[in-house]
Amino acid sequence: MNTSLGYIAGRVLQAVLTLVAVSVVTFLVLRFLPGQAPAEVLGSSQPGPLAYLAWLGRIFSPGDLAALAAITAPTLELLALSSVVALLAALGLATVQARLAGSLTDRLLGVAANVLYTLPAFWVALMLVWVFADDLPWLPAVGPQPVPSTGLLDWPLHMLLPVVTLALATIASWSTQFRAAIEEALRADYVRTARAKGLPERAVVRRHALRPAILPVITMVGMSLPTMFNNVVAVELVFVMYGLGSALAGIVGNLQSGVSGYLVLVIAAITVLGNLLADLVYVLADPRIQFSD
Amino acid sequence: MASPAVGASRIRRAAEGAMAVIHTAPPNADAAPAAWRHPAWRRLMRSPLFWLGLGLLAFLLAFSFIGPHFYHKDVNTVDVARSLLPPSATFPLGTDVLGENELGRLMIGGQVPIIAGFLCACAAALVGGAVGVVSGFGGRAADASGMRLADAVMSVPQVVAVLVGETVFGIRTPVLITVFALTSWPLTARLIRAETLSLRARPFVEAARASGSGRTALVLRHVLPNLLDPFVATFTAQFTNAILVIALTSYIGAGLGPPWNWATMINANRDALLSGQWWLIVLPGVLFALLVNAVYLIGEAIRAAFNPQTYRRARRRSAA
Repeated sequence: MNTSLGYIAGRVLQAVLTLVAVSVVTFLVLRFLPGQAPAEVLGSSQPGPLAYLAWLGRIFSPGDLAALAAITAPTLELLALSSVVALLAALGLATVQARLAGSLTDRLLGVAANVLYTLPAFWVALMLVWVFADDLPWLPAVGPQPVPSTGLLDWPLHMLLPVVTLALATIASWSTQFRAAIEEALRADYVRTARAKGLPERAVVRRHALRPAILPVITMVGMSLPTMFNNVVAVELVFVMYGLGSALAGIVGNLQSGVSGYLVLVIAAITVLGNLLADLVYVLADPRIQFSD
Repeated sequence: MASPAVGASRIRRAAEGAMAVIHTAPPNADAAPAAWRHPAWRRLMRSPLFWLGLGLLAFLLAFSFIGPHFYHKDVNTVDVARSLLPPSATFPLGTDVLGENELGRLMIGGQVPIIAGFLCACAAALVGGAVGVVSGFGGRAADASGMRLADAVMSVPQVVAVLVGETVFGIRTPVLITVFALTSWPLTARLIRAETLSLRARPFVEAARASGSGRTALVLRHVLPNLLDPFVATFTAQFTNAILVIALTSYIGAGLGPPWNWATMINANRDALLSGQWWLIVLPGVLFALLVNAVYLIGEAIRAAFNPQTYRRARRRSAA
């Protein structure tokens, strides 16, 4: 127990150091490239380290914090919802593929996943808008807007296409990796034993193959966060949502305030903490991890 | 091996194992007859996937680089009076919002993604390959610092890095490629490192060391040739990733100055989707997918031909 506490402490320390490094690099970029951010924002009259601390401290000023929180919330909702959708869909798809390994269905699904993975997310978003919001006018063409909601179904309806787009972009790479993990688990001795004792195939897959295959998936979900964030930018732009991604897209050609640096920090914090969380869940979930002393 | 890092590296390794199923060729360093007669080359030449990928790539290269020399009617003549014309004999794919010849624009639009995509993937492969081999062979300090740096770099989404880079240094292709090289190496480095570590422990490497090979000779003759498979695998992954990042940042910066390409075309014409000219949006996206999949097919065919394990498994599967 002590050793696993030690591991957790080490892992947390590593996450904090990563964030400090990212913040220092961001600050240096803002400070030493003249003509970008105004001097008073970065306190360039002060010596470097003090200016850095002052800049970092100002993220907690009520105004900036509220503005950051207001654009972070929609992005987190989008990320969380599409992760859940993508996770369930990819697990289902991978289970079907692994059970029919080598068959035509398996290969076609594999090809489909690969093609889906190679399509730019903003293009997929535009296609979905074209089909489901324009051709068949079933769904709104924009994501949830920061205005008072008009009904109970308002938010879910506006959220549907953005979540589906982001999930589609993610399902492809996850299902490929799940499939490999499940297929490997299906070859294990204990699975052969389970089959030999007469367990129905469904139960074999669900109880004996899926569980160990889920473990590496946890780490993988954490590691996909940065890539998912790339697609968040695309989704928020196409669906005109006010989140971290669209705010980030707005800074191109314009680093006029220190706030754009804070954007980078918040995004890095989300991905670093997500990874940290994934690793910690992994430690708690896998009884086999023994921490050598 | 007495630190919490053991647990961390074990977790990472488990994840990497799941992320890419790597196979390694057995040692083949001494048998080197004429290279083109090697069975691997013959397998490659007989692979339909290879020819499909190569054909696609050749078509896209000809379309983007040779096509514009022969077909350049009204490609750069803005004329709003003939904007969004339907396909006709004069304009096979109609005209875009600005009244330019869509077919001609599609040809030019491929140049930036193809060139920048290859340069980005090469840069990522070189930097990542170097860091990976050094991490795997250079001792514990080099390994730990390389991998912690990789963790830190990986925590910032690439689009964030590219957008900040473009904001500071301008929206230009060299900036894009440099930022991409600086941010995409960790994926390659991790995979190459994991493979190098596993190769190091193999009997044939040990045998070479026991028979007096120096470290450089060991790496050059016995380790590098066996890294072909993970190298090709990550090259195609990096190419896909580069194309997606290029597409997204061009889409975002459209109008601000990234060179004309399929993604800026999608942005410029996106309202045409609602007025019925769907092909203006659909075709550039399809071309992106064709480009990425052509490179992927070639990569998979090379892996299958040069990797006895994949090759045998594929043959078993088709025999069954």
